[in-house]
Amino acid sequence: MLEMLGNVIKNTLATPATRRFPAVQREPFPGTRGHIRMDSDCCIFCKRCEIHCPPDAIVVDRQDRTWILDPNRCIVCGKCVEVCPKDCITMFPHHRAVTRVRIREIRGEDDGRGRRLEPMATKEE
Amino acid sequence: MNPLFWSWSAVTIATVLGGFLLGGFLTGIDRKLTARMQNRVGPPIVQPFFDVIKLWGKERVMVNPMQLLYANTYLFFSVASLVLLILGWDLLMILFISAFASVALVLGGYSVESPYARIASQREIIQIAAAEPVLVLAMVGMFLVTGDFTAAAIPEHPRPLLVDLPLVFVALLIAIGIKLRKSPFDVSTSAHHAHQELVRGIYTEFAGPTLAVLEVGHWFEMIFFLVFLGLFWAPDWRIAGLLLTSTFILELLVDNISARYTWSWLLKVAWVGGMGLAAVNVAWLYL
Amino acid sequence: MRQRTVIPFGPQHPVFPEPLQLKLHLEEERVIEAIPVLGYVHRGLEKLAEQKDFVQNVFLIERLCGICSFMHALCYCQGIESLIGLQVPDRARFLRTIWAELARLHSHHLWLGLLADALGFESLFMQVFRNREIIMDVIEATTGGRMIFCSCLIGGVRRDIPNDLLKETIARLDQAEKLLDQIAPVILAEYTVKERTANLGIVTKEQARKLGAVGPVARASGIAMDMRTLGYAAYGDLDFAPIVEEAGDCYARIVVRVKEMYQSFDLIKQAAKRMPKGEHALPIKRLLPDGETVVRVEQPRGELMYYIRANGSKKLERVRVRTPTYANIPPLLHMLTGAQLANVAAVAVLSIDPCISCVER
Repeated sequence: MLEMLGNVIKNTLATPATRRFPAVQREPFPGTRGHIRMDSDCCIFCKRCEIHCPPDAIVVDRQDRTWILDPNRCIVCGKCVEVCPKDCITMFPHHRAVTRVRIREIRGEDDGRGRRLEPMATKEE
Repeated sequence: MNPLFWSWSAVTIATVLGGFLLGGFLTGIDRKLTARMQNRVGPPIVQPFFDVIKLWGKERVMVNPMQLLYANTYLFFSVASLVLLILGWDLLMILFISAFASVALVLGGYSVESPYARIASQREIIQIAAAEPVLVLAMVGMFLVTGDFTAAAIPEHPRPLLVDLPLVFVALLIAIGIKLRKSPFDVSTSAHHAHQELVRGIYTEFAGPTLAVLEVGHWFEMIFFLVFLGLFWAPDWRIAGLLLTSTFILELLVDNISARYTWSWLLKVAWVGGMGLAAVNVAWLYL
Repeated sequence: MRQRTVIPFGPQHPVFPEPLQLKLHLEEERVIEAIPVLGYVHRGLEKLAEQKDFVQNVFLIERLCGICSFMHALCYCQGIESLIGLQVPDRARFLRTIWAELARLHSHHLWLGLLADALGFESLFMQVFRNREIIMDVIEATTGGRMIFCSCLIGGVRRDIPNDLLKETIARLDQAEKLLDQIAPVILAEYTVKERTANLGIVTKEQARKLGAVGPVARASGIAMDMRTLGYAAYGDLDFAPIVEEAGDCYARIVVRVKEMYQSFDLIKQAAKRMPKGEHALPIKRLLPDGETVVRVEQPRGELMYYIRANGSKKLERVRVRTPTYANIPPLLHMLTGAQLANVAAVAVLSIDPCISCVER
């Protein structure tokens, strides 16, 4: 029993190792896979992310010019970030709260020469 | 109505209120100190009150109506034993009233079909069998010193009991470890620790307000045994307080530096160690 | 005839969070018979692995199990690499070794905490989990995930550990090792822990062989079986020997695992010291797997075996996984028969360190 006594006394005198969680939060490490974001401004709707996504969380539609992510399916593996030819998808270290809302990135129509006619939009549905 | 009735009523009400508040705060301090010993922040001191209020607000779900009866009996006799101790009645009677509370808890455990609760009830009986003889011997020792079985006689005794009954006091520490449900003696259920091979032990099938009743009953049980220990330095309540604080911290410390043990080992420790120490002390008083 | 009680130990039980069910037939508090019931978390992952292409499978296979996730990915990648004839770069081999040992460390810490909890030793449980947090931080800093590393890839590893991060990692692990020094004597010499584990749940050498025990269970019974001696990843270049105990009881299994924790610290340091320079991944290009192979790696719980059959297309024909816990269930039943109920959780169930989500996939 005495083996633990030293530890217990040391623990009592030390500052607690736990945090008061919702109030005090630890910053994630820089390389943490938290959540992905797509910048619809540069997306060319090539569907590479959709093809490579292991859990089929991304659905891209060329006709409607939409990029839909289902965060409930997404396993935040970062494969889409690797394969994106335009580097539109970025990984952020903070975790997104659990949600059933799908994230739809819509890019407005352009005139074919890079000038946008309609503004782009991020919709959560 | 005679004045004795009014003074007794006042003491009873004060004991019930004081026991409730003190019991809750003591449990809170217990949890906070345990947390600090484990290098955690721990819950606020008033957390046990929050817990009981939350449990009280839940839907009343019972496996059978007898559960409620047993839970209330447990609470009633726990409160009664503390009140009678404060009033300074006969110690042997008080002991049997507190044993009644334990028996009600055992019956509550047996009244359901769950094998966990049933096996825990068997173990609780073993715990009672381990702790009660030590308590009886302690009371015999007190009788031999003061020449009286009433609790009221002890503060009037000129010398603190601890001087005459040091080994009985040590034996009582074991018995109270069993009664407070602390490691290594928490075989039937743990004080505030749900993880064990019997799930929640004897409390497994209690829920909501019924569980709240048991929780409060345990507070009174805890205060009862601490006051009982306090009798060992009854003439001076400041020293008694110091004694109790150190005993309480010692129990927490032992809880944190040992694993749970099996019931067969518990019997060995309580009967050979506890009863042996108490019996040697009592025999020595006889000579 | 004495009365028999049947206790359903699990699938929901506070001592052991995973859905293992054991129907314990008790006489008084003695276990007469134990019947395991498996299948509560079967998810059909082997079938799903045949639907996805073999590169996507790495992410799927990693999610077979939370604790030994990296080992599954490592085993699968090694299998595919041998099928397409790819030699991974040296730096990737060493990085894989470091992560494999980190996975073993955090798994053994978890097991030690759960064991302390099952023994009713709450403060030790908290202390072990506090120390485990350091390992988890190291894992998060180097791979980007706490449980699912996502760092193994066919042809190498997904991300490099830069040298300054490696140095920081070693410094943190030194700190974790010092904290383990405080705990190890408690678990190895504390009276109540020793009394409750020594000479209980004995599996002799012959029984271990006959029942097919693997990993620490086999090693605690005197069988020097450690898949790391096959020399996969960088284990061929590092100095170590399998840790073997002779007693075969629960205490011996504790000793084996605690010594393995120290061994893991040592192996990570060795790997960091000899870390070669160079690239950390090779492109697969258009290589496709063909043929069949069997791969074995040492998981924290024992030998993990993958059988992979490919037909030269993107999709695999069959992926079969045999996990160490599955092999250790017969020894578990052997330990349970005749055990006291108080010893079921700590002495029997946790001493094989079961991982049900791998078993049922």
